[in-house]
Amino acid sequence: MNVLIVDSMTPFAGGDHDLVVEPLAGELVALGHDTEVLRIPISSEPAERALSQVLLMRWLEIEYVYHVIALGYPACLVRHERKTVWIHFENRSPQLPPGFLHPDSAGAHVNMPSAQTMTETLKQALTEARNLFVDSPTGQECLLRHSLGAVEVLPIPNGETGDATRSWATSAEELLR
Amino acid sequence: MKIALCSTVVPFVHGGARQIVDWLEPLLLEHGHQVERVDLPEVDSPELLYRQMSAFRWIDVEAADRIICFRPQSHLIQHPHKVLWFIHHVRVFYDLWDTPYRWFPDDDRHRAIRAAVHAADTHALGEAKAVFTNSQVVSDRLERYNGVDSEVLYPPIFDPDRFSFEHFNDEIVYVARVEEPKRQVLLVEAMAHVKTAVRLRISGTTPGRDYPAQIDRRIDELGLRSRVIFENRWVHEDEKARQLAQCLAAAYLPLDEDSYGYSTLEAAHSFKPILTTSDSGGVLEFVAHGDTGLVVEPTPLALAGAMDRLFQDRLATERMGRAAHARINELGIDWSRVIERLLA
Repeated sequence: MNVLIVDSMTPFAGGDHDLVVEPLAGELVALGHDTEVLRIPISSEPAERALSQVLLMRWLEIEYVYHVIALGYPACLVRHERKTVWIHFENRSPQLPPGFLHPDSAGAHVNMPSAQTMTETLKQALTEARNLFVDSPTGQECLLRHSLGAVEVLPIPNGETGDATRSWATSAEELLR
Repeated sequence: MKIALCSTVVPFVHGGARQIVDWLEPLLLEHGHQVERVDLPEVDSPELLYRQMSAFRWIDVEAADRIICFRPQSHLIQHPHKVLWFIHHVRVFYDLWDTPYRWFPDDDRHRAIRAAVHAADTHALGEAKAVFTNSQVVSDRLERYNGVDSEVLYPPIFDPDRFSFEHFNDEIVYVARVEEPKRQVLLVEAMAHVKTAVRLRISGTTPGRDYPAQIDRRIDELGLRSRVIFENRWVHEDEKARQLAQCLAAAYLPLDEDSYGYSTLEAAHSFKPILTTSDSGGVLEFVAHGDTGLVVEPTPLALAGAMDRLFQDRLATERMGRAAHARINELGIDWSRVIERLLA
């Protein structure tokens, strides 16, 4: 099947791209899937741009793809009828909107209506997901507070969460469920 | 220099629009530049296009010293040093409006969308420090529809030394994406009229299923299975180079193509003439009738006559192949020139 991995990136910043995207893409290919990666540039600064970055992700259109695996925020905002979301709290910053992670501090970063909009948009995007995974119980606890339905823990194989027994092959199969 | 190469893609669809970026990237890295790829998904539906264009305006590539934009609507991305290597418009809103390729009605609503797309394009084109195109055809469209001057910068192929001449067999090869505008089926129909033992080999991938099925059906209906090979699959670069090295000639007959197309260039690097049609657009900037190939009317009979001529008159075929190779230098199709102009 055609599997598209959607990730976000800060141009020329390097980062932990290889930790997840490349091994996952490699495993999907090994499992016989046509696999591509889209890395959408986003800007986290200044904070006033945050809402436009949310809309940017929501307004992209994806066709000719059977399954989307969206990694983290804001990539998880992309729309697709067969989307799996995997948010990482341990190995990468989840970079979730402040109003989502810490509802009391929402107004400290951006004005309150924008923070509310971002939080509601994120909830909507996560609700659309076919399956929602996080990499740790901490992340699971955070997302379960928002009544999004099932949130499963899927550690990054050999990641700092210590699940050295988990292979990329089984993780890839989980993400395609 | 930090350079962001910005383009749009249709996931899992591969063609020249991707290759031009894929091939430029390693050359910029070789020249010591830092390169970031920004590939954005795009769907050209009138209902969805303007919203995507708005999203592109919010793409932040400020960390780059310069951005180079390729496939539409990546030129909407904002940057103080934006250079465009503009390869085509979203043509259904431009030159393909009054053609069967427009799949939506010519009504007030869609005319308004068209006007908005034109206005946004013209504005974004005006933001660029420099506008290059891949052909005179595209430059002419930019001037006609957007009032924008541009410079033609013909795109070379990557590592042209992969291609070489071995000999002439009896096959005319058509290696390209298998889709309706490329008109492979026209060549199949031409094969029903040839009088010589010329053969046809069509190969390439496709995003859809209907057109390949149509080609297969016509091959069977016309009883051509023994003389037409149709391989609806990705042809490895080495295999393609071998086919071109050994073929009689290459065919490339898209309808009103934006540029000469890499298929044309690959044939020329293999010292093979190109068979095309009078309505193939940018291909005609490279192929001159009787010189670098044959240009005929887009009919099965005319194409059959040309195929027989290529088969029978091997001396002329060989001469046209040599001229096609020489045409590469005549047009200045060279990566060092590309890099010099894009980074000027």
